[in-house]
Amino acid sequence: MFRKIVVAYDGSEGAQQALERALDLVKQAGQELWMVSVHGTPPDFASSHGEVEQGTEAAELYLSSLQQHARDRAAVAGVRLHTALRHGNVAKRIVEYAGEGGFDLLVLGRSGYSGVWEPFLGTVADKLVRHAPCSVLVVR
Amino acid sequence: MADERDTWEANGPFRRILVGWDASESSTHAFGLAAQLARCCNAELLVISVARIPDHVESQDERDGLIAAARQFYNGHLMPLERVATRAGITFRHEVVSSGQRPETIITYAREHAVDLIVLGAHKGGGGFARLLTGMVGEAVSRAAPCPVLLVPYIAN
Repeated sequence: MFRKIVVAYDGSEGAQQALERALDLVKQAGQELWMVSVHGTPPDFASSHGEVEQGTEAAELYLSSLQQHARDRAAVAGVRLHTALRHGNVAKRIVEYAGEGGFDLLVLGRSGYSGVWEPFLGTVADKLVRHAPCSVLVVR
Repeated sequence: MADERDTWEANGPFRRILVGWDASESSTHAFGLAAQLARCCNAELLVISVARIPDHVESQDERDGLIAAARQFYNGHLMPLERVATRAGITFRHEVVSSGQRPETIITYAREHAVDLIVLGAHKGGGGFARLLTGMVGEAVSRAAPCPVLLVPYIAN
């Protein structure tokens, strides 16, 4: 079955479901799971260099704390969770991570933040479905 | 109480897996992975092929004719699937469903049959129209499906 699984995680409800599904699937993949979280830079609200840096720091702190929670959750399920943090274009970074790590399954959630813009721009999920180098499981 | 059961259902193993199959290499490849999953989860495996009926077809006779032709075509290409299923030690059910649009048909079927995973092939590389088309079906289904969707890439030579 799947040998190496990565879950894309942003703390949203959809990502939470993706994590639960991945924890379930990983039972057949050696109880080891990988997670990647990406914060898009620079944040929309930043207008000066200092603000960009501050925003980056805050985002990194926030994602790290989300990942800590996820690691705790995984530990309860008896799974070792490896976490990685990236910044830049969210879809691009996830595709890169999945390719470099030799993963054969990427798990992601559908319901995120992008409700309003989805019909016009397409979501991160659409881009991942299109460009991921491995199988993609879209959870909802 | 009902909530608890829903949560369990949402995260439990897959019980009924649906594969959208159009006799292409990429969908046959996806079937292979679905067969492995079905064996792992001890799940039921359903395969549907969509006989697309153009809008200009109005008479029932013409409609029936198109469906019969589609059924014949798909049945003629089932052999690789049967081989894979035998090797995996599982069985599957194949059905030809008629409709105008593929994504909608797959989603409706999944809903009506309480499917908890949809598996589709995704054409990578190769290119042109086939890639565009299968890509679009995959995206559209993953956007509106009532359950998780697994997209399996296939690298064309």
